[in-house]
Amino acid sequence: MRRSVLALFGAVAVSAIAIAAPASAQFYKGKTLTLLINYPPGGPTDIEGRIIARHIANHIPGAPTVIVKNMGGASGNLGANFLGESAAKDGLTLGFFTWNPMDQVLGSEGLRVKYNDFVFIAGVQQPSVVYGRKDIKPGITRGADIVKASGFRVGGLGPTSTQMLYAALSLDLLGVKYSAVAGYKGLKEVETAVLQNEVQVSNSSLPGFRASIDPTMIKTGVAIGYWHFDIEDAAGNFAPSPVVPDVPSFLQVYKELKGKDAMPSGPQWEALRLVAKIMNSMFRTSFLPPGSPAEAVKDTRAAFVAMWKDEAFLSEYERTVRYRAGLVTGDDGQTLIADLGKIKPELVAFIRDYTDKIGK
Amino acid sequence: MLDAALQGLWLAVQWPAIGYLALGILIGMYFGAVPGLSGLSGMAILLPFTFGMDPVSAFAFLLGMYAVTTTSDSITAILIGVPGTAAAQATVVDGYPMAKKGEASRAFGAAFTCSAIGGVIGGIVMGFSIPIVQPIVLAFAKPEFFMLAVLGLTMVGALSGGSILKGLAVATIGLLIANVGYAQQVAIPRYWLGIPYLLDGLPLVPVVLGIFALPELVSLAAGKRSISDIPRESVAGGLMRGMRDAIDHWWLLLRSSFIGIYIGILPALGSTIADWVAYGHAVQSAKDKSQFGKGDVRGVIAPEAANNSVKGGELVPTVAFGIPGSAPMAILLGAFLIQGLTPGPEMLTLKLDLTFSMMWSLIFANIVAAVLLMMWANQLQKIIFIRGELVVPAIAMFVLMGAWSGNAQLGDWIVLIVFGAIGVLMKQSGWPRAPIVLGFILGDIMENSLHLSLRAYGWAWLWERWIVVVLMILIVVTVYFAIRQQVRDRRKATASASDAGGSVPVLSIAMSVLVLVASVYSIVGALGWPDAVRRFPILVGVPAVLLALAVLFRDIQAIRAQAVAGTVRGPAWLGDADFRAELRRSVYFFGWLGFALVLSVLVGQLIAIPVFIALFLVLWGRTSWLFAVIYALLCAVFLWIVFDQVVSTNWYRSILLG
Repeated sequence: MRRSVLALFGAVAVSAIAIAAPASAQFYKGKTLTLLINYPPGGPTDIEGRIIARHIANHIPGAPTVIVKNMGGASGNLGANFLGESAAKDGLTLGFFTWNPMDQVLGSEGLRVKYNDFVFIAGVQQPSVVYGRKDIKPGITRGADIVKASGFRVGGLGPTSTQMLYAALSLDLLGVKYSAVAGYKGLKEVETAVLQNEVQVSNSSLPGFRASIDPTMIKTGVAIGYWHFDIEDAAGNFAPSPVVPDVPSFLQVYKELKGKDAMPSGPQWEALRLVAKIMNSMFRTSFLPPGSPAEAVKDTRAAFVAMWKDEAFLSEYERTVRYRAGLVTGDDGQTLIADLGKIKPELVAFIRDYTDKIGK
Repeated sequence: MLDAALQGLWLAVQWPAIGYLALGILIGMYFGAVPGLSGLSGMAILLPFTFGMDPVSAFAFLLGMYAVTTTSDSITAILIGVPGTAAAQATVVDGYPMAKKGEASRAFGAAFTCSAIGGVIGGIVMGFSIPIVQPIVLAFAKPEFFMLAVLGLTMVGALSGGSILKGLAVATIGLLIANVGYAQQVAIPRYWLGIPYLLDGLPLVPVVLGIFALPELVSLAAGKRSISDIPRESVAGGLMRGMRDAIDHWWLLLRSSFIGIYIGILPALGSTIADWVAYGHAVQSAKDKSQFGKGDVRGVIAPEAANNSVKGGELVPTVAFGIPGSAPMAILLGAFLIQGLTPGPEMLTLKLDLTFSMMWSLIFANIVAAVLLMMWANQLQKIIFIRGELVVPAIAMFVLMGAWSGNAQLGDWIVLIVFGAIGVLMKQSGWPRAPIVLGFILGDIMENSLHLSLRAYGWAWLWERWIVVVLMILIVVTVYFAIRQQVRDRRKATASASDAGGSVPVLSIAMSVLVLVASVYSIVGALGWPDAVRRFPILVGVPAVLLALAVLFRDIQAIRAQAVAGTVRGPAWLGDADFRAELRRSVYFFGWLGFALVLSVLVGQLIAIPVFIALFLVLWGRTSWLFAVIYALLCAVFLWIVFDQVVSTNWYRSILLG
């Protein structure tokens, strides 16, 4: 009996190795992996995606040929729709996206797939920073000063963009009076508007903050960074992000103004948490289509982990985004994304209302 | 500063930078010459290759390519009426008629000379204006953008055809079709007719090719003649004549170059608009406007100077503030990222020599490309004397692939064909086509700037900002002079009903009705939307309805006048017999395009396009099978090399072959 169990165990183990290991090692051998980028060539998503495309093959067993295809349009939704609806589920098309999960939350007609149906492979962290002019009356020398000001304008992308929501919600939580000017076409355009004093406050992702806001506005004394959003861990604790030491965190500013034990609450706070959690931890996301082969999922997830330890890749990536970006992989990311499907209807209703007000 | 300029020159001529510059120029000439490829696609494709280069080489490579696409794009614009890139749209308006008169070489001479001079001026101004340009860029916020767009549209609408009413009506339709797809403010889809493809809006390139290129292709196919109406022996004036034209009109050349630079400096406008504004200016400032649209060399000089000089202008805000002057410049910002450089003050202080090396790259590229193209011009221009039916398949291939290469969706071809039909109708009925395209390009910019202006300033921007006020005065002046001119013209030619434009008022009525229906539909459709979403369509739709009614009224008057005079009766309502024959053949030609589309769905484009070409040659052009097969095979090889190997097109996944 014992022998037979052992034998059976051994046989299973051997066959498991025989099937799993070589199959996995072989999966991408001699194949072509297409990295599908959901924005046109030349933008930040594309540039980061192409750096990944140049390195990822070194970390996938079987070293496939990696090619890049861009499918821009409809704020990135065209590429997401393609990955979910049309791409073959053979593990040979890997999406690298800048996503807008708000489209899913609010049920936008442009997005026909659900992100939580995809197989999550990896996400790249990218904190965002609220910044603004120093000459807003009565004068701003640090983020907390904004509560003394009123009648200024906050510029942003579309009213449902996480970028706009992020700035508006955090200002509302501090009880600041402002008017929202939503509808700029890109973050660069918003920066220009801040320089022109058309709007006074906005927010940007950290690479944008480092690469262009810092030299053209911070160093020249036009603007300062107001706050960045705290990182929330799995247990729901908040801490300032270590990669933005030069700008205080939102909760630091909040506590300074409202008392050191104060903690925001209510639907605005829940909405802000949702936006921040999704976008801070996974600004860029990588997915395989639903139902992709398990070997492909395992190999690509492992490849991202290995790549994020590869100095050659990291230094090239850092040169572009200007900080050492963290990575969210595998199950952690899948859990975060699964939450997208479970948002309370009250919160969805609140966000829909809120964005309608901004858009009016 | 002169020191830095010389250091920049020294950097630019070092190996390997100069080698990359040469390579960039050759690639750029190619990307400009093939319709469907452009400086934008070139920039996107070349960018990844700069990862390993030093900064001077990387920018020499990219700018060398980018500088010259608008030199070589006039080749197809002049020869076959298909703009090589979107920046050559305005060149088509007079360049192609010049080719029809057999003056392709002369047009080339003028175009290449002006491109080179415009480009060099743009480069020089770029190098020396970066340090002082900040006030201009910062003064042009959203309200100024909106008014500038209105001015540009008014100029082209009021000046580009015989009729101000038609020009402005068409311009408003251009603005309205830009509203198709998701609204920018709230995710409400507009005018999408339940077709998901339209949610993303109409694509630029298929619309432009449909409006401009397909009608020319149709008349080439339907008309039983070569592009040139004149046999080769009787052509007067070649390349040298064109160069002399450019020099004779030096003042226009200079003004157009500065228009280009100025538009380039304003963020996000770029060469697609510069050529039109320069063209509008050429018409506006000319004493004798009668030859514009019929092959006036000034109509080539102005846009060609502007669409090269604009690139120096575009670099200014890009380098000085990191604010891209156009879409390709946004990609160039990617090159800054890759190089670890920061656009902004650093480029004007620590890296000033690098900034100047960019200026030199622009200057060299513009000169080299013009000289090379001059040397090839005489070979190139032979195409206009070949029998029309023989060049049609190759042009059709370019048009189809041009429309395809942006989004790679079947809808792109359907848009091409639909707008092609509209283009044919407009052409045959004397409606100007330029304003619809410019309106379409400007629609998004205008709606967005209007919305943001109102959000940020209320209505006060209309009178509180002096640049806005100056621009408004210019708009009034433009319209006033255009009307005065037209009234004078009409007095001169009292007998002809010039507002009816074409010889066939019935077709013009069809177009007026189309404009009327579209504008009423746009207003009715907009009524239920939130303010931010419906404001622009209604604001544009109301004048569109009024203009359409006015044109309709004039067309009916023209018909009644003809009826009273007894000049038309029975089937002659649709023009004379030749005209009707051509119309019939046009309809057949659209049938052929439909066949190419269906065949592509079945077996994929790499097979369908060559099969279409071979069948078309035999059945339509009456060539031998051997000739047709060889022609089609050459096209197939070209398709495969250029669009599969070089730019890896997303081909349609066909039903039968996958």
